[in-house]
Amino acid sequence: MTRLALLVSVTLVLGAATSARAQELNLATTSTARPSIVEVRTGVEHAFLGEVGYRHVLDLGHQQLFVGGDVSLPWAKVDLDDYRVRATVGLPFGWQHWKLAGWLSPTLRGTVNAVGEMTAIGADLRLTGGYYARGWFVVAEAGFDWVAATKVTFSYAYRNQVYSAARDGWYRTPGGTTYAGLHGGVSFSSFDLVLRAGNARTTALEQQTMPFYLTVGVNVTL
Amino acid sequence: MSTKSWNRTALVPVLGLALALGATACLDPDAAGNLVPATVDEDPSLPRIEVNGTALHAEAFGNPGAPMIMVLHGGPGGDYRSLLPYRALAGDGYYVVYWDHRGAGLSRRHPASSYSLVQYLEDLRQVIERFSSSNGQPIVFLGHSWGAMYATWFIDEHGDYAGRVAGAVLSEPGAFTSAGLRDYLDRLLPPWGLTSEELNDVLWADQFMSPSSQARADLVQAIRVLPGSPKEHNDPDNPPPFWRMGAVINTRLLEMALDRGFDWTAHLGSFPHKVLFLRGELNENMPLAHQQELASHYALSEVITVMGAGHEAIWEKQDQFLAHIRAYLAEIGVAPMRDAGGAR
Repeated sequence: MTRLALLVSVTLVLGAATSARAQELNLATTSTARPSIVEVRTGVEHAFLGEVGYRHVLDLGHQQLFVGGDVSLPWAKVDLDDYRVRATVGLPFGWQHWKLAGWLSPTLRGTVNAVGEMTAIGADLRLTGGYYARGWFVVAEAGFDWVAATKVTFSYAYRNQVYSAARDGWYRTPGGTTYAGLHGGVSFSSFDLVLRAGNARTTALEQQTMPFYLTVGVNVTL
Repeated sequence: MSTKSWNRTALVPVLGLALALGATACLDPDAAGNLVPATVDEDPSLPRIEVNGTALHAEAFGNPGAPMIMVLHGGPGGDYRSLLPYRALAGDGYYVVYWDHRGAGLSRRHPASSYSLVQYLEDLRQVIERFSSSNGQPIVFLGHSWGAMYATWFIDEHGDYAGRVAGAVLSEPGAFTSAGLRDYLDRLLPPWGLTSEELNDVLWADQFMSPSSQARADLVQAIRVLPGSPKEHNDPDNPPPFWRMGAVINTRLLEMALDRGFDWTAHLGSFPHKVLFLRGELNENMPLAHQQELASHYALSEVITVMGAGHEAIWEKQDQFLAHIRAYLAEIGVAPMRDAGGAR
């Protein structure tokens, strides 16, 4: 109960917003004995966004496997039309304090803007590698957040003001994000405090509107 | 073969087939006409001219021998669609020329690295020549926003062009120097507050459509442009239409201009004709003092404020604009040619 109250408090403190892809775990402290981890993030990633996620630690014998999911919303103005939902599976391996991990996150996104309503499906493949101690960790990361297809339903405004013959439908491989950066944090009790930052570009390596990401978050092991 | 292994073996081609069907059933975001209208290279039915190594979406109205009204759209990267009401001047007896600038509107797209300021300015001179019927045909510029800056750039470089440029109507130019442009962009950008839905939408959209082709970049640009800028105070119920934004030329031209620096005021004082500035009363980004300061670089100028409109007054208050333009043309002595003429 105390732990739950603490979690709620932390959530409220971070609260008005939350971000990031929640693969920023301290792999030195994760355990199948306490397999449930709740994550809360906030910061800048594409937009000002918040994220709440859950990871479950599974035992593969000599190895851990992470499964879970997260939901992200941009919070510059709360708008449930804009969202990102992801499932994640992660497999770390390594020796002593040094570990590598691969993370795969099938992703569903939605947005409504002046041009129309957009829904995108894709997958984020991320590789992480770094040093994990009981009290802290620092990790390099690189990933490819690929959009397989985006469904576009053009708005009345776009058809009326710009292009009446625009074609509604699913558009294949319309883009995505490549990113590289660092994350790290400190761990104490049941918590990780995590900072994550890096550079984001399109899959063709052009600059994005928001060329960087910077998030802070908390992981709580239940 | 066990049932389980058969199932796994069958799954691979089934999934492969599903992916292949999905891929072929999906639309190509870069195919002509899907997300944004086709350019002159993709739609041969569009009116076009070829000058200076590019193909431009262009058309003209009126008697080709009449005094020329050279219409220059905004942007950079916009198009002339919202300025088409001014073809009414063709009915008055003027030859009204429209064109989408290089890389903009429905004109041909080029790689970003191919653009240069010299080439861009030369385009305007060659378009003038392309539509001219004689070396003495008078020209009056009608430029909106970026187009008003483009006209000033031309005048600063070419003066009255051997006596041919008889005047200019400038609707809300942003700046005539790189320092002025930086100040203007500081006022203009970002057009929305940090907690606004518009900013949210623009930033979040990067995850759905990357600007990795001209078509996708132009669509992303439309996401940015369509909401408008609150400080410009345009009528949300009567937004100006456009065909297609030229995202690459928009970014590239501003980069080149700011990186290299420019001052288009050096020779304006010797331009011998009166220049008319028309501005919207409500635009916070271009208050009266701003337009008066720009106008002061010309030897002869007048600034007229059109009440009850913002930056897009040229679209929202067409009747008033036309009245001011007609009075101005009469004042500077560019008389219409009264015989009939058609589109060219």
